[in-house]
Amino acid sequence: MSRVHPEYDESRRLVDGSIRTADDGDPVLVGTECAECGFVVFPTRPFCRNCLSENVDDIDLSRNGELRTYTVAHTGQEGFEPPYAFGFVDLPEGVRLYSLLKGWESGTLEVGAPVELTLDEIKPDPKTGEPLFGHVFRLVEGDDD
Amino acid sequence: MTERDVAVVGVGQSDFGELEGQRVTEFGGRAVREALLASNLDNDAVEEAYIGNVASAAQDQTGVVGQAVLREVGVTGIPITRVENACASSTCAFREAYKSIRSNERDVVLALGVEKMTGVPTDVALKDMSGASDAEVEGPMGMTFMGVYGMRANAYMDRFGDVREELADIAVKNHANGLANPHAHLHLDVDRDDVLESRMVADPIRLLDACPMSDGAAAAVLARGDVAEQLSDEPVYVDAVEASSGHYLDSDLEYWREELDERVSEQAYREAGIGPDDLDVVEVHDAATIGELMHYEGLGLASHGKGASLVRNGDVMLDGRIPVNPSGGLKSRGHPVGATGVAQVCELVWQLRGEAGDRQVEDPTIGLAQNSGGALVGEGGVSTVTILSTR
Ligand SMILES: [Zn+2]
Repeated sequence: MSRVHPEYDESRRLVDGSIRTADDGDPVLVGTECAECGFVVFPTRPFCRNCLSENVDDIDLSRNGELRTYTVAHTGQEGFEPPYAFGFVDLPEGVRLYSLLKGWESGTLEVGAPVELTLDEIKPDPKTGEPLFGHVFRLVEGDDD
Repeated sequence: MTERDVAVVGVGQSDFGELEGQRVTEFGGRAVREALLASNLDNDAVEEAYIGNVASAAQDQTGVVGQAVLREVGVTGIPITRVENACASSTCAFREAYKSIRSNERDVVLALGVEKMTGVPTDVALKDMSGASDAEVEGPMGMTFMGVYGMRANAYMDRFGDVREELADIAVKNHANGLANPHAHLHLDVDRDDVLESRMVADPIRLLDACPMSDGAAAAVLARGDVAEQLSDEPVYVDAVEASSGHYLDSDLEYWREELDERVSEQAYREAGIGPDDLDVVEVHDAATIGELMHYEGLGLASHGKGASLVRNGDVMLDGRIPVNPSGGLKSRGHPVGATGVAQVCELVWQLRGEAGDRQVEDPTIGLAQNSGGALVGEGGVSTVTILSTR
């Protein structure tokens, strides 16, 4: 299965500068790393949040992370079809981020579960009704066969 | 008593609930009127006022909401400042009032909170709530207010095991307490099964684990200790009002732990010269039942993972060792976000004066209120701890 939604185009990205498609066709999250102190932040920033240096560069973040916690919302914001899941994902770079979660069934989400990045629909644009896109983490399929 | 002592002279609260057809000025003015009458004070005695409020910026009274409310009770011609800190807004207003007296700037200062949440479009109300998270990634990508509690609950239960029955028992306790609170929003008689069978909101948080959205206002008159002693036979001393925010830059926060509460309560206990074992009555921020359970641990009433035992052995019941949320808490009293903090102060004052009617705790002398607001990457935006006593 492609990790990038077939209708994705950059003009309909929900959070600017947070994600892009890499040369291999798969999505990557974009963060900023500080050359002075090594602090990594997501999404990108023009200077370091930790030491305030402007000596920073955008970097590609890991596509694989670990689910820190999660919930399944049965009532939600407009534009989101319940039930929908979200949680916090830890990346090896020391970044923790909020994400919608897909590829789960009732009872399969758990703390510590491996998750992988996809670029998927988030919600319809409230003005145009066209889908907006962004990062969505998907449970890595277990091998508990 | 030293000149630096600060005391609450009197408090007032409007009814909490769906105050249909009432503007913030109407129920806000009512709470302040009660507080002034209870303080034996004329309206021109108030030297400064701080008002906690979150949502008016998105509604009709978009600015100077404090002035609009206080005009109703003739409290005018003084500095009036609005304080916004999500669901902890009015404790932060109370803290500003406390600081201005402690620094000898003022003798009599008013702290109030007002919030109108019903009767506005649901999407506006929900946006007011989800807006207390990160508005770049979290809010736009579907995070909900109760979702934060659902995520904390799952992290907690992953580490310490299933506590869904104890969470339900917290809701049952708070609703039972709230039945005796005439100002409460929800007067519901519920049992554990009602909670466990109620509609799922943000797994494992169910409808009856969650507080309602309410309208309401609460007010407190603070004064320098010697002034308060002239005005009232029963001043309630403010022994500590501490607040802090999350760290956010660290990514190793454990969601099963109320680390922010731990830091704030340690400061407050030190300031007041007491420890958790000295408390007689406690109000905590139970926007969801898991919040209450985790605050037990954050405040040091129980160690990590042991909060549920306080529910199981009855310690936190109205007649228990350390009663928590005798008012009914946010769960039953309701949660008009900007008014909740001062409403907790109202309850402590009534409890410490023995004026709490059928929900009166037996002879308390030291009370604590904990109030939370907002979150970034799931870490608290603000937590406050207030300690009051009749020492
Ligand atoms: Zn740096």
